[in-house]
Amino acid sequence: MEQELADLAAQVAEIQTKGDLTNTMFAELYYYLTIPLMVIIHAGFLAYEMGASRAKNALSSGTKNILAFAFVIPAFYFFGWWVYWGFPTGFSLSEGPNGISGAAYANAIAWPWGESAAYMGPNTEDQIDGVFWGAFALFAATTASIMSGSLIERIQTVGFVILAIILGGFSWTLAAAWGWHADGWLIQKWGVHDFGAAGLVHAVAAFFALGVLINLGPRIGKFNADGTANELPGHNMPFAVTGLMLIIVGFWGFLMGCVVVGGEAWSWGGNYSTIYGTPTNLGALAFNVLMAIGGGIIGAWVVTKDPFWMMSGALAGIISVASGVDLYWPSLTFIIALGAGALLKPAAAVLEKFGIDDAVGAVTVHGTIGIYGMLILGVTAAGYPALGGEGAPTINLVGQFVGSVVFIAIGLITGYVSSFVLKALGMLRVPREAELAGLDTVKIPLQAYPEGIQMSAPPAE
Amino acid sequence: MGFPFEPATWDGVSGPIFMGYGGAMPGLFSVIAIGLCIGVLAIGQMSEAKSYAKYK
Repeated sequence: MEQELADLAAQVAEIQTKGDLTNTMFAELYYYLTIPLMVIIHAGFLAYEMGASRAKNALSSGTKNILAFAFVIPAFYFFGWWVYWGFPTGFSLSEGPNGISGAAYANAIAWPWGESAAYMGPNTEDQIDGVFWGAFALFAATTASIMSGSLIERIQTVGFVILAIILGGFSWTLAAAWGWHADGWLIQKWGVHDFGAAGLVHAVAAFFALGVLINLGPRIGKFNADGTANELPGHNMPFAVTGLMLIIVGFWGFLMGCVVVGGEAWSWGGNYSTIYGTPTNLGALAFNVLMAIGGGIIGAWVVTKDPFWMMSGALAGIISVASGVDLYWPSLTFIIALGAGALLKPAAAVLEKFGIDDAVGAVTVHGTIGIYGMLILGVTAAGYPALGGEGAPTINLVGQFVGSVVFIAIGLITGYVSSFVLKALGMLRVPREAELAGLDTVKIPLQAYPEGIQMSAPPAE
Repeated sequence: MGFPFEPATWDGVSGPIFMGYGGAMPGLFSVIAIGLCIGVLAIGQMSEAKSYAKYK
């Protein structure tokens, strides 16, 4: 009998070991799969941006977008990851209540040299840091892609890459440290809840872009002497619309990366949770993201009848509910997303009235709608605990407002100041003659359409 | 850099397994990589300025 009990105990221990290993491997695989899904976001932005450019700038716009990805990833490796772990409590770089933040902690895990290098490369005992870093690096690259489209057809390549590095390596990461990290002061003090990063990714990137656009100025021919705006249509709308659909595919990976898998040492418990340690699961995402896509498209269709804006509406729909996609009732999601889709084009028109030439509507889709979503959550989810555990701050409108202001300020100030410096150095805008000639002719050793493009049918009245 | 474990076998190895772990190499390569990024941007800027100069 004793022997049988001992054998049984050994079998249970073996099953437990295998179960733990399976869970660890699942957690690693889960985050790993978010990475290629988020690469699809960049495939989408690439197509969208090239299609929205005039033919003479198509490849130049693509080159710029590809370089943003290439430089933001190493920037996030070299210093961005450190910013995320170092800054949650603010500029004091002190340790937060969960003991996983501050300069000392970041120094121990997030530099690619010294002792912390153990967590920044292949390690048989660390199956999560690499994939978690990878998912965050793709969030960083996404911010650069969001900015990229709005600046097409007149920004210098290297100047743009420097801006992408600042945005992807520092600006959004600072916002994430404050509004996403469990020690973040916006969460601890104000109860900010931004599960799917409507504010801390989308709005930060969009307002960074706005800060740059102020210094960059509009494309030649965009505005008339009386201030009225002209359409400068892209050369390939089917390509742009398909790109938008690809972005939406990729955002499933983005939102998947916002969910923390359970059962690991770094998890919040045994089940799925948000990054705040509050309950959620993939079912919540499935319900709400699909309803948001439907609502956003319909809202934009009602107002515009334009497939470009309809697909932008789908993206806006997702962004409008991203902050609370873990909590929304799907019918409410649909209503909020429909409102976002309907709001898009009028909001873009307001921006144009201020002389801002946002070539793809990125400031509106990601900025205006990101803030719209942040604030709506403050009303609809008021009273819900913003963090897991006892005595957590609750979601509230004032907190969401404060969070929104902070995210806008981070984006706008860093974008404006960095582009102002680049402008002073002559590294921001291409010369007028080069812009008129077309940037592909000026600096791309390849022709986008060597056999030309056939003119399509005229648009409906 | 060499295999950091003695003897040279994977048996019983756990923890960091990348080249140069425990020495100065990881940091040195990181600094070189950062320098390369900066250098490429500096050269890229000069090249871009030359391209624009043709159109001024």
